[in-house]
Amino acid sequence: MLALLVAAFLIGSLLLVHFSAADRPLSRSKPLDVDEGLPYPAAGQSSTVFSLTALFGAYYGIFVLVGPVAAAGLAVGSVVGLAWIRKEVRDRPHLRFEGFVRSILGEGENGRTAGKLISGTQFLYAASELLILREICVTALGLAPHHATVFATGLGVIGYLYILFGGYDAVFRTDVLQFLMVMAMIALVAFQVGGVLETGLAIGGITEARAGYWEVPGTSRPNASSAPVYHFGLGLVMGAGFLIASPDAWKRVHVLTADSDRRRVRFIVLVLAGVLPFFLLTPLVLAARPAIPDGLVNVQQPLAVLLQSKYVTVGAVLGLAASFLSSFDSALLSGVHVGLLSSAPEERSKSDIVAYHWMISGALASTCLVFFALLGPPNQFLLANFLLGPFALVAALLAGSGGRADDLPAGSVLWLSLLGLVTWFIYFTARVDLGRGPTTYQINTVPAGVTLFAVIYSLSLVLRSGAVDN
Amino acid sequence: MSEFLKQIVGWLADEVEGEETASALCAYLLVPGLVLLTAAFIVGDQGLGAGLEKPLAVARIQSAITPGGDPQTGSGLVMILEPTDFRFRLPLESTDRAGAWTSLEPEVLKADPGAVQVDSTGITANAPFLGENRPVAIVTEGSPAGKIQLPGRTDVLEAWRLTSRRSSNLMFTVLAASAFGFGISLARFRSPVSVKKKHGDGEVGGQKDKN
Repeated sequence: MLALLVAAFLIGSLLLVHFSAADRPLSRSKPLDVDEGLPYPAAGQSSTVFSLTALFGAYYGIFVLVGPVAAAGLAVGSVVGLAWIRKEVRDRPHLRFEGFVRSILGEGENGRTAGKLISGTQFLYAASELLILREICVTALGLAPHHATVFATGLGVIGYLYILFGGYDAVFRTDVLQFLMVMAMIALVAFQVGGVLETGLAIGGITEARAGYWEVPGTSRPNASSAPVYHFGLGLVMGAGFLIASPDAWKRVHVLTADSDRRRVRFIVLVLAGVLPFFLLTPLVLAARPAIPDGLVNVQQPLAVLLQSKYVTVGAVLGLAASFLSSFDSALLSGVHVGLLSSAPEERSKSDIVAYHWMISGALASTCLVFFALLGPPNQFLLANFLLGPFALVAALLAGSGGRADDLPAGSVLWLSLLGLVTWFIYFTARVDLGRGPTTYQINTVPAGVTLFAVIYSLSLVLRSGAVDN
Repeated sequence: MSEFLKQIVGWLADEVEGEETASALCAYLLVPGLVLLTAAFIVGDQGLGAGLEKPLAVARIQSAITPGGDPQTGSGLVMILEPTDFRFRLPLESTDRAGAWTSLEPEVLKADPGAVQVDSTGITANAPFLGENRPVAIVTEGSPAGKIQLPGRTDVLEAWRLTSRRSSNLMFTVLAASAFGFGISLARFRSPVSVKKKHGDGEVGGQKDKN
């Protein structure tokens, strides 16, 4: 029955995309210049944040190990990030989304570099989604490793076909379907976990961070008086930075903001959808909190509830697949779109549909190559962890340049990017044991990521003010 | 086979009329097809010919339960062998009791003495078995040496561990859905090319120029 339902979901959504695309086919000249008629952007936003929570486990891990103050910082940071994007959209009135992206990147070398950095980060993010989906299939759902590899690759190809056939129309429409799947999964799991909740509530100390995680510099006490402020601040920068650096979030905010009909209400709905997963996580965290020891992570532990009944298992498989498809598609499509818009002017003489086909097939090929190449290491969360740095770098460049890469001196984006990436690479390889499985201590790379953000942001501000003065 | 390949290459050469069609061919067919083939090739240790399922599944016996008694440590192996061309040897650490139970009828074993052979150092099997077209179960006592010997190579026994049917079902479901999507992709690529050939204008991959 599980296989039948998964098949029905996948084939049904493929048919939905096919007929939707037949009704609104892609334009030959501007296949991704679609701003009208995109439904419910909040659904996609919620699915993306849920993916960070359930698939990546990043937000979930921070909630469990550092506590609710850090999670509150993530939630507030998400709001701040969306508000920043909205401000940038409103500062550029009457621009279509493509015009908005071009105004952020500019027409010069800085913009092309920033565009490539953003695109590359999104493609690597998509590859990390494949790796983590495969890992969860093996450890939590009991699939054989080789079966999980084919499962993840097949889902990735299906997600790619959504984008190829229908572009943004397809992604936004399937986001709604996937959002419903995710909500159904949460409802089933919450129902299952209900009996464990009482046990979780009986255990005290849920407001304190564990020793050894996000400790305030200069103090050895895990819960120094400054810890809540420190944890909240780290969470805020992380939550905001992720959304500022995500062009799929720009698209959703632009869709809402550009539409003058009830734009404020729709933006509030988008924000609520973005923080919804945090509130739905609370019962799961309370139930699972005592069962995640420090050190090597047993992914099966927090997800063991998924196999306790066949209905929950069905819901879990569909929900995880849906969550993956939503995030994977958003990352791949937004990476392709930014890549196309940041190409050199002489390359834009090609018909856009040709460039779109080359770019999207190249994106799938490179994403899957990275996926296949990283099947070997025991830690399938390495790439996702590493991406903290590039996301922080992109967010810092965009925030520090005031949303206009051209305001920075020519060539500075390249040098700042190289500085940031090399520094992060050296830190990451020294800090994280690459030959070991995933550990809980990997979230301790977040403070370094926030530091990278602060440094690049400050440098960008200084360079920008110098350029403006000149 | 070579004629078939020549026909495919000829068809591709006819279809690719310029960069627009080449890019569509790449996006709709080549890249997704290559990605799926690569995944299947990576995981299919015997290549595509044997498919994605191994002909042998092994489960270790680690305990013994007697009526009314406590569970005790046991040591043995259960092997499920598909009715396909497959030959292997499983080395076992020396045991005083060399023997095996199979789901084959005694007459089959008598007629084909080399089908299943057991000694104190291991067990050898040669499939397919005469007159048997269903999977065969073999149970033997003894501690496995952790490896399996195949024609021309040795593999770790862990790679041949019995996997759940849910695992196979989910994998084949996604493969089937991918194949379905690939079919739609082929149709979307194919039909506008024929429109273009007829009318010399219009769509690629289903796209219309909105402008």
